[in-house]
Amino acid sequence: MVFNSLEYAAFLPVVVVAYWRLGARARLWILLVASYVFYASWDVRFLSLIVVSTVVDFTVARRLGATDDERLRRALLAVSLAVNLGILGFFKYFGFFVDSAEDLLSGLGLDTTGPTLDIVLPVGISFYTFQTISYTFDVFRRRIGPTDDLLLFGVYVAFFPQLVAGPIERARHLLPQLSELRAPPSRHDLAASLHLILLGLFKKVVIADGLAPHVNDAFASSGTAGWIALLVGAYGFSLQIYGDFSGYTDIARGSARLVGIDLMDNFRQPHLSRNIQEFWRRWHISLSTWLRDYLYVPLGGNRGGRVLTYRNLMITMLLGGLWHGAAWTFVVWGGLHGILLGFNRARGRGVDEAEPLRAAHLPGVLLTWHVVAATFVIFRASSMSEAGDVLGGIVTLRSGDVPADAVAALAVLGGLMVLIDLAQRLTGDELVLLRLPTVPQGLAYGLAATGLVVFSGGTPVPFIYFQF
Amino acid sequence: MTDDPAAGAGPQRRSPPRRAAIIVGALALLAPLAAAEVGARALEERLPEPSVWGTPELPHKLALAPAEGADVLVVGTSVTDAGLDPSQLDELLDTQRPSFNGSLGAGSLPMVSFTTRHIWLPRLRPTVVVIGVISRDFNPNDPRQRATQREFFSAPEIERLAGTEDIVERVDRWFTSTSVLWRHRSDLRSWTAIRGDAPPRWAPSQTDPDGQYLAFVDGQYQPSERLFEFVRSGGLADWELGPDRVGALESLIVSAQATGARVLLVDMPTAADLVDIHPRGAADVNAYRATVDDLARRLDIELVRPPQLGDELFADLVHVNAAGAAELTRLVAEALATDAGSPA
Repeated sequence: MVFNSLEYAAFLPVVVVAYWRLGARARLWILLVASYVFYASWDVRFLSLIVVSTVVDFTVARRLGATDDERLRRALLAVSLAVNLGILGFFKYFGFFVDSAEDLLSGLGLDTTGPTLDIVLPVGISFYTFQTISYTFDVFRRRIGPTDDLLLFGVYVAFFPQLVAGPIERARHLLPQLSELRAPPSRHDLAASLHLILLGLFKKVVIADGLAPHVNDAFASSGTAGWIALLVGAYGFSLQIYGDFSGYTDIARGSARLVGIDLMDNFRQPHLSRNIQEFWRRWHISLSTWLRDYLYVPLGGNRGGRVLTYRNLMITMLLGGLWHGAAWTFVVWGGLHGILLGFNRARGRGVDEAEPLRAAHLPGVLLTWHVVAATFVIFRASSMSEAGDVLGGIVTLRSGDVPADAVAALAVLGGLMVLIDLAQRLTGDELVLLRLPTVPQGLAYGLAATGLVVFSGGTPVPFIYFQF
Repeated sequence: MTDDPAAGAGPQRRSPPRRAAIIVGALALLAPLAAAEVGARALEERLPEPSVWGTPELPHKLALAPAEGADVLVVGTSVTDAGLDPSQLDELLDTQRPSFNGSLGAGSLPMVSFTTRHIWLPRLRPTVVVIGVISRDFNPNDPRQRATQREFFSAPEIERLAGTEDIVERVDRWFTSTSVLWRHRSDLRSWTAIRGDAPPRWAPSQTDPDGQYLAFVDGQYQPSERLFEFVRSGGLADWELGPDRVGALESLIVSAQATGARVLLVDMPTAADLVDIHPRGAADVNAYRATVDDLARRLDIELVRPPQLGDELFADLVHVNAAGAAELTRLVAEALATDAGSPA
């Protein structure tokens, strides 16, 4: 059941209506059952992994809260990490490491065949694993106390709007909201929720899915396509993945708001960033802050001098890349961002996020966007050689046909994406449309509805981040 | 106590200004949709025919099908589509109504069976149904054909004919028949289509007015490992006799017999190399032939197994060229004229 499906359009109102008709405890049960049904609609077998993670971290956290013995506490944390990362490692990285080891050995002239298992990646495993690890870590570091409520914790791990692709929530933020008995949403809350859902659908169905076939064509013919087609593919993917992922997040946040839960921001107009550091403060915020809090800072952060800071930055970004998938393209992508962040730090280019965007920032914004788009080519490519073909074809201005449909789609859909982001950024309000007078507001929603009609039909395209 | 005279007088009503704002907002919301509908209607002439039949060939054939019906209906997959010439049959058999080739290129036996039962038999009321098959048609494991078949059976018009539409699909069909914007929405995503430069989904020159597929007429078979690999990984991939394929053919024959039509099953010739490309070589072909023989015997229909044709009569491993089609059509006409089909 994906957000952009009729099944979800039927599922969500049923859950929301049932939720508000019940008392506090029953609401949690509704959310847990709905979340498990939502997840089981993909593959019921992997529900057991969520249950294992839930029970292990619930138990470990309670024991952590009950003891001051530091050795025992470390052992308990190790158990949680071993179980969670063990499951994640097996399902996500087993094949990758076996293949890489085989490649290495065959490169050394050793003929070896490792175990081959056809392992299916459980959807959302990277997201809920990181979420549950953050809880145990926070209890270990005594930043929060453990919860005694398994039902509450079960909902925290499996809350359906953000279960399969985030935002990766923190217990400090989500658990208190879930345990609170809230009043039904006001008219404004309802409007804001529905607005977020519509905006998310527009970004996903119109912008991301509208660009997808042209991006696919460009990458499928990376060795032969002309530079304009490849450039459209590169720009297009940068906008496609943003529309896809931020669209998912908007729908997740809108859905959660319907049951009174405020999920964290995951994107703040990242393609309008003035440098790479700002980009990472605006792109996939729940992951970048997770990596900062649970990897970069425990590694020492920037407290150990310049060399250690760069080392920590590089390790964080390499692992951040690998988090996305078991492929060298993701590792290289993460590594490149590590280098770019290090370069930015070396030049002392900090950024004041609160500073309004001005025309003078345009060169920095354009440069950052191009750098990000170039690295996304590696992220999107099925191999480094394909990425080389795409980037090489662009740089060498390889001749080839100009894909009129792709250029038109990029101009229109990319323009819409920029327009949405600019409006949000310049007003500082993601719900800016709700502030418009009646007629412009109605026209804007009518245009969005027209876009959804034109780009509807066919099998719903899964969200890109579901594969991670 | 309250100063509001409406208080306590039943459900609160929206104030007139608020109601007016809602109406204005709703009209503003509908305006872009209405404008887009008007625009789509203005563009409709230049947009390609919407794909509601699951295969571009079928709507083209529906337009070609003789209104008075057909004495001889030829059906099968692409091999029969290209291999039997209805006009030549008319000349040789002196039919009263024109013959018609209702085969489906890139089709599967379930697709052929479905279109014959739901479209051609009631529409053309044939007195003779000629069904052409080869071993490839019985393989359910061709990945390309599986995708084609999935698309075909989920097409709106096919689901309507099959009576398998759910409520959402019915609503979709209503919108498709009512709104040009809805009907052509996938084309409106393409600048090329909007400009009127999109190629038609089916080039009319590919099909003769009698329904025969003409793409292979000038072809000449040239064996190559690349061609063999294409067939191995496609039509003959993990070749086996699919029970659904056999079942589809059987239901096609039974339905044709139920209309009172004479049914002729033709084991269409292929290039000799095809036997060796089967995963188990001649054993596969023998199993296929035994199945066809058994079917003909059980259902009491005529089976025609023409002699092996020379490679010069083929355009590739399975499709005959113009000369091959002429020879094959002559052999089938001979069988029809003389009742020479050999009951297996």
